[in-house]
Amino acid sequence: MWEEFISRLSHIFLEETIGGFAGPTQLYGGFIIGLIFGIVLQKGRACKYDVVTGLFRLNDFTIFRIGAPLIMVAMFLLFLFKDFGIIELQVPKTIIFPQILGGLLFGAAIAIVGYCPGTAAGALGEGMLDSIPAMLGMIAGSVFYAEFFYSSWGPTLQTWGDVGRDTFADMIGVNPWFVIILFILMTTMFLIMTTFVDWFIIFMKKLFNTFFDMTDAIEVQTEGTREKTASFIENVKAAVKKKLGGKSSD
Amino acid sequence: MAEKKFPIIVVSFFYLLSFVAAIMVKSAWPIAVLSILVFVIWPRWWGMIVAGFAFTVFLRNPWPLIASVFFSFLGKPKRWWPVPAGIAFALVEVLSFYMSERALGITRGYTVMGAIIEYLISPERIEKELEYFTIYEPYIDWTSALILGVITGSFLSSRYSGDFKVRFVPEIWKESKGPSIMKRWMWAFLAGGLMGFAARVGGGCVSGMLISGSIQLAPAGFIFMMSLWIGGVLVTFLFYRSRTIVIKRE
Repeated sequence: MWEEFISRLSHIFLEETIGGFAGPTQLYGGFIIGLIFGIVLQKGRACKYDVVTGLFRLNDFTIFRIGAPLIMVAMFLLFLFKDFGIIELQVPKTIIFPQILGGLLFGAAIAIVGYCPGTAAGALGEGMLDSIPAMLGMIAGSVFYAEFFYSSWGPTLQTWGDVGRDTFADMIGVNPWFVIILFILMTTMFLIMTTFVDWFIIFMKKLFNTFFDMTDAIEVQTEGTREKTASFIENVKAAVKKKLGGKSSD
Repeated sequence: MAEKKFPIIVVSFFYLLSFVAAIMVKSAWPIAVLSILVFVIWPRWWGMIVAGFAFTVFLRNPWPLIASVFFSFLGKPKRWWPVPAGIAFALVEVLSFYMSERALGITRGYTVMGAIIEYLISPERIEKELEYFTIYEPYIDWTSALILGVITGSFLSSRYSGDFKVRFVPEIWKESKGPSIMKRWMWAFLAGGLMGFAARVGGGCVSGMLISGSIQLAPAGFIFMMSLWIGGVLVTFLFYRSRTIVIKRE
């Protein structure tokens, strides 16, 4: 029993994956990229439930403000290096219907749990323990799909609206740089807009906070005055009683 | 002064111990491990630089020292401004394309972990019956190392800036759904399962499909982005109802 288990454990680990740093299957390279990725996610505050759901609650646009320059710079550098022949593109397959369905379900899940798969790992590093059930759930969900849905959905749903591995530039038939310049202009406009909206929201929050503080201060003051008036009235009553008592004793 | 002097004595004792251990085993790994341990317990800038130096000596490679010097002053603030964080994120994406020749996607790691767990339980089912796991083979690969790296990077970063704190329930969840730990963890597990399922239907997660797709101008990324946003906003308003917009008092 145990020997078989250990032999299975040794089977899941391939020795040729620890050869070096560069390459699509090397473990060291993955660990180092993950290290930098985790630092960037944590410093950009993308691992926090408050920030990620704030995006969908429409009261925190930090993720948009990270995402717009990300898409802009990464797109530019990627196609620049591709033209120099340093890197190759790995374009994902476009299948319209399952991606719309998957996106809707993914958005629903992200609105409830507040982490996407990458930031769940980052949130665990930050000390948010509720990302552990989220990560277990992700493993369970993918196994669930492989067990019960792939054999029936693979040939049917996964082929509805298959476009292939084309980019926008291939579809229109122009040089990709025209499309990139268009997207850079669009993301710049978007970035400026969301930044102003975000600053406006932060300003409104501060305003609300100062307003609450003011009302709190007024309440405290009124309570104090109430006490003062109450004690004053009691003093007067006591004095009147004393006087009346004195009169009555007379 | 007393609280400043105290850790230096203990820390120098730790370093001495690591030197003795390194001489005893005739290898440099105890120094590297203990210097990281010292940094985690007392997160100061010199600890980071000493750890980087130890790794430089251990691996005979200048990059850990350079990275630790940069991290020692860039990692100190609790948050980066969103635009520099986005540019750093873009550089990580390009580094992933350059070094590992693959797009930065993390959900594959969870699927591979599910495959590994199923392989440990019953290998025959993986090898013969489920054809889905011919795409996701049950071996520890690049993406598993990536997840481990994200957790480590986020932990080091949050520990250094003093952001690390073990919490069970996020703040805004407490305000909109109550402070119950059981409820939050159950919802996190359910939504995580939905997320893993949706990622398998759509063919990727936020990093693997949305970002990596849209920076290569693939229509897949933009379709996924739009449907994710719509699904997220709809479900947020259905799920949190009147508690959608929560203004936190500071």
